[in-house]
Amino acid sequence: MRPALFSILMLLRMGAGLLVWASAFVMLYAGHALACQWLGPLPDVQLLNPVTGVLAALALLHMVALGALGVLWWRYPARAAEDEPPRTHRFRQRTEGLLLVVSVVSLIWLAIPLLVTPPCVA
Amino acid sequence: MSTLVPAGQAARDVAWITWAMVIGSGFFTLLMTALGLHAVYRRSDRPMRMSSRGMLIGGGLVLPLAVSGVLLAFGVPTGYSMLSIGEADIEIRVTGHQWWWQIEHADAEGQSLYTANELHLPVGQRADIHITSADVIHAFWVPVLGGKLDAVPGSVNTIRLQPTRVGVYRGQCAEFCGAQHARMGFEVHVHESEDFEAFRAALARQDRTLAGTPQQRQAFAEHCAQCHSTSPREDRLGPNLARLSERGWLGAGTLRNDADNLRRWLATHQTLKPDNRMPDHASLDADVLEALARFLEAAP
Amino acid sequence: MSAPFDPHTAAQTPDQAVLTRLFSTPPGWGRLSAVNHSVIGIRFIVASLVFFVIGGLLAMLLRAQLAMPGNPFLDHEAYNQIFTMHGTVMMFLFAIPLIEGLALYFIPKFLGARDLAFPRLSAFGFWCYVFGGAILLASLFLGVAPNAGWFMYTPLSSGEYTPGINSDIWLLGVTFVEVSAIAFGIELVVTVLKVRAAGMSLSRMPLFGWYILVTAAMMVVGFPPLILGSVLLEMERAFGWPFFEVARGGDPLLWAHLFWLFGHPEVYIIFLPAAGAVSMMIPTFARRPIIGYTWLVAAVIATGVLSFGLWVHHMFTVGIPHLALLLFSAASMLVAVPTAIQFFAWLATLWHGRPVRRLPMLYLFGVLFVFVLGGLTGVMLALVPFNWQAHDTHFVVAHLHYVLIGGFVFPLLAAAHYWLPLISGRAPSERVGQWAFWLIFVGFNVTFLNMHLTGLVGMPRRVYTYTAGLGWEWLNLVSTIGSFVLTIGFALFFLDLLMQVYAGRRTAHNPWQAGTLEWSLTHPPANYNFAALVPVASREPLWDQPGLVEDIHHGRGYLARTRNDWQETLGVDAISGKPDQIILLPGPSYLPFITAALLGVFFVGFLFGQYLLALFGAGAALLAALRWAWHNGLPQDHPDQDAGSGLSLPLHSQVHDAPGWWGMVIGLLVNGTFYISLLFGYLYLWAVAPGWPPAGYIDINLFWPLVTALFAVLGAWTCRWAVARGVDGKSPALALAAALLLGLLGTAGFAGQALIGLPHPTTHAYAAVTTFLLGYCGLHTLLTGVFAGYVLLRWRAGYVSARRSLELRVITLWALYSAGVTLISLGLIHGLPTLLGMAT
Repeated sequence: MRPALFSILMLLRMGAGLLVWASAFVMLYAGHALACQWLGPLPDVQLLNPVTGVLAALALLHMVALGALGVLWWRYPARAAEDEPPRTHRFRQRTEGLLLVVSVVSLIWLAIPLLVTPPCVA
Repeated sequence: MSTLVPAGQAARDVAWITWAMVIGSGFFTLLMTALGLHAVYRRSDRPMRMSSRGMLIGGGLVLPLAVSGVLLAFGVPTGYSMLSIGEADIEIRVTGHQWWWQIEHADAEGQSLYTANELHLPVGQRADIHITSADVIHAFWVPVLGGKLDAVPGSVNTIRLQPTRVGVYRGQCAEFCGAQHARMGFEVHVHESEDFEAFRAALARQDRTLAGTPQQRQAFAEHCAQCHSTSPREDRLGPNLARLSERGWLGAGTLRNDADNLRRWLATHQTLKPDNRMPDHASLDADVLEALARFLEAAP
Repeated sequence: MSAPFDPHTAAQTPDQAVLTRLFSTPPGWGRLSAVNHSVIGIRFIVASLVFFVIGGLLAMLLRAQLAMPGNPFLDHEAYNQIFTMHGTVMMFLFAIPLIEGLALYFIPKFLGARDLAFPRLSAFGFWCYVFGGAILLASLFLGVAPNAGWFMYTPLSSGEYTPGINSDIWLLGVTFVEVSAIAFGIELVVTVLKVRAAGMSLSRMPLFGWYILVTAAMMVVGFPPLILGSVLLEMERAFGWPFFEVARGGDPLLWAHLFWLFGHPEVYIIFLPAAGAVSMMIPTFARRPIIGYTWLVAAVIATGVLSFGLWVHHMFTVGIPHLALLLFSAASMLVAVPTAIQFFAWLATLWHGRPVRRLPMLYLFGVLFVFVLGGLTGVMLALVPFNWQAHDTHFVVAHLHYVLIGGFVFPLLAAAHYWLPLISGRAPSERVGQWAFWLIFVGFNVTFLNMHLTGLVGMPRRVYTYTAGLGWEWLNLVSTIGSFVLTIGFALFFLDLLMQVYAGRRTAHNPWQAGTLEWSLTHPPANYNFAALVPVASREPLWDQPGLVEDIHHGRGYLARTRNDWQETLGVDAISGKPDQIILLPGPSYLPFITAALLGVFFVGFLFGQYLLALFGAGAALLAALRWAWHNGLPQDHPDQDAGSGLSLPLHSQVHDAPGWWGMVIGLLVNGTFYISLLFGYLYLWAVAPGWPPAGYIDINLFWPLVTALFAVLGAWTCRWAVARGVDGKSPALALAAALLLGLLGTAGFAGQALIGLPHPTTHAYAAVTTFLLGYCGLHTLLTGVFAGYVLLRWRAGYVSARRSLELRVITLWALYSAGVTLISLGLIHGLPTLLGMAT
């Protein structure tokens, strides 16, 4: 692979967890707005309702993606660049892992309030 | 008009969290500063016993998550009392204008009663305030009752307020809305239920078609009636003037309402509240102004 | 232990004399042609400090007005202009440019390079900043300054409610300044990734490099939404395209979304570099390497991403569903995590080190107290019910000043003391600085601590006057008194710095005994920075690699010899830091100044409604930019060059991984974010505005869209064909000519669709935003053609060969991007109505 593309891929990989989180964030925000427009407004607000279901599915989907990144991180660590010092390679691996943890925590953090709050209430 | 001296359900809940958070913030600020001072001003021959990883995980990850988790868990439900969930006891429409508030109470039959810069609420009842704007974005805010909500052109936002104390309070536009944003206040009267009904009835009875002398009525028709009405049933461009003499303030919180100030306002409102949308009255004779003042003061 | 080596007393090598000549800036009017990063960096810093003084004086006027109720000192118009300009000046003309100046000045010195990747680009950015700032400043003196708030909410800022020139000045002036922010973003991402010392792998980079990398990347994706919003609002004001007007299918909150989509990351764009400076100073004063380097890097990256998920917390009261507010509330509290990690990493470093108590440490305590309190009130504001009470009151004013002064000004006051000896060559002095610190610290807290209470007792923001008897009088008076103490403190601080610069003793080399590369330089540094580019093997090379300073100054390292009067620096692999090319840096040039001035013609022409003049300015600026690009590259192939120490490297115009290629990639990222913001606007209006699209507006006739799309795809393909022929050493002329033709045809296709296929854009927001989308694609297709024609000329002039195929590859990236946006846009315009069954 060309070194430039390799560098870009490796940098993206370090922050891949956060990109999944960002996608989850956008989807949950837009998903709520659109789901309320199409499925709502809900007459009585209960914990089990289609809008919350949609949001839960979106959150779960992204959690699975983060899980897949976790497997990737564990089983197929990023390759070292040519002449890369071993400590730098370890640093990239650790940063990727830390950011994955941050992403998982962040996704859970967002998901819990969303799943226990009635949707579509202005 | 302090948020810390609440007179409404929502404001009271929020005042509690405010105090808790103020104390918490002070504590953590002092704690962090103390940690820093200790690190630098300790006797440097004494090694510190705390693993750096423990500090990073404990202070960087666990502490903020724990604190904000508790905050969200206890704080978010307080917001529910300001949401329009379930039936309200009373509904009021509020429209922001540059730079005054149109308030629409409903009479006993549900017909609109227009007034300006004065909001009346019965104590203990849940009131849904439906807020919109006729021009730019404003924000409706009565600090002692509850949070604020923007008046956005083209959409209606609803906030629920439930007053707990009888009294007269002040509200204010909170979103910058142009030249006279500072002078866009209004009064909130919280009444006992029966007094509220009395107010509504009195407002509904307002009819000035026969008030004052014919000459005074003529002056109003000629100089004011294009934009102002003195009937609470009519919605015109400018603030409705029904029951003006009973209001506490003139010019959306600019001036206390009394005989002298009313005359001052009529003569020099462009100096008192520059660039407001009412044409300057410099061209009007003193006796015309006096006729207008008397007309507005006359009993309906 | 022998006396440490002092480069100030060492004899210069002949090559150093040549380097000094090559990197120098001409005197007199020639200063307008300066491109050297030290010169440009200092200019940025000085200009931003001038704006800081102006912004501070404006704040004094505001505080004087609010000292007592009903004060006749300022009228509403003056107050509204002044508070708008205070925010605008501090954000756009002080904070961001100061960060830019610091990074432009320091990054090459921290990273062990001789200059930035694109020295002329930062010179261009400087002139855009100065010209844009001049427009804004002039409006203040002419009494027509923007007066709708620095957030410019529509519809207050739109033509109906602000008919004068005030809002246009904000929109055009700030956009002009933002050109420099975009230039900076591209410059710094590429520089940090590609222009470092040999062996400086990612994990050996000084933390400031990481902070600036993330900040620059945030600017790359953070500013385009604001630029888009400004362009749309200016088109509404100038031509009546109703993007934000309810009556014609627009929505005023679209502006608020676009503004805060930029506005919240902006806060972190300001905070992160200052935190980066703290991360550089703490190890020096703790006498040990930073603890938790990996954690800090992860925290900075996390902050960069998370901060894009907070923007709605500026809009908690606009009437968004409660659950969506919670999403942003939770995310806003989440961002406390990476911030706390940084603070605890700093504390841990001090805790485990042997801290020395010097003046910069005092300012760092200011950071600790002030920023922590500001952060905690931020957490308070993130809680929705509390926010509904505190929003738009003086509580928020207090909070944001705690954050920005604690998180930006205090760190930089520390940094000023810390790095001034390096910049000026004068020894640090401590006594006056301590007085200044206490005046600033006390004055600041007296001004702003009680202002939290002012807000809680009900005083809204942005009011030019208030009524007596509401309990606000003494709070405001105390704040005003505090603000004067604060001002005296700042005055004393600047006086102290000036005294040091003009009357200080000479400093010893590396007075703080720091470990990072910049302290290996002479104080002040030579204009070429490093006489030799030494390989580094550690994060604190000055602590871990003895003899390094001597090696640098005796020319023992890479590129110590000069040849052909080239200004050379090393390009390295972004990950490993292994040298992979020699970058030839450009010398002084008037073209950045001329291009920026012509761009100024565009902005001023637009401002006064002289659209022909504006068009001329834009066209002339494009020609000047192409003329400027003509200087780049070499007219013949060169073999690999000796880089010293037995290393032989190709020149940058002959490698795949050249800075120019990276610059185009990052530039397209800017462009792509602009485009995504536009798509967001399109979909947002579609979802929010009622009756969208209006009946009769959708007319699906797929013939012309398909033909136009075909032109764009073929255009991209012919560019790829040109690359394939070029790298084989064959003539790419035919392919380039075809790309030129296809570009022109595609442009015609878009123009036809916009002019014939759609109702007039002033009739409805749907027509306006669709026309805008088509115009965007048309412009890109046109530029593909222009670039193809340009490279054709370059090839004829001998600048393109099999080894020098960079330009072919760079324009191919552009052509691919154009084809991509064409397909997406046309698919959206015609596919979405079909999908929703709206087509007639």
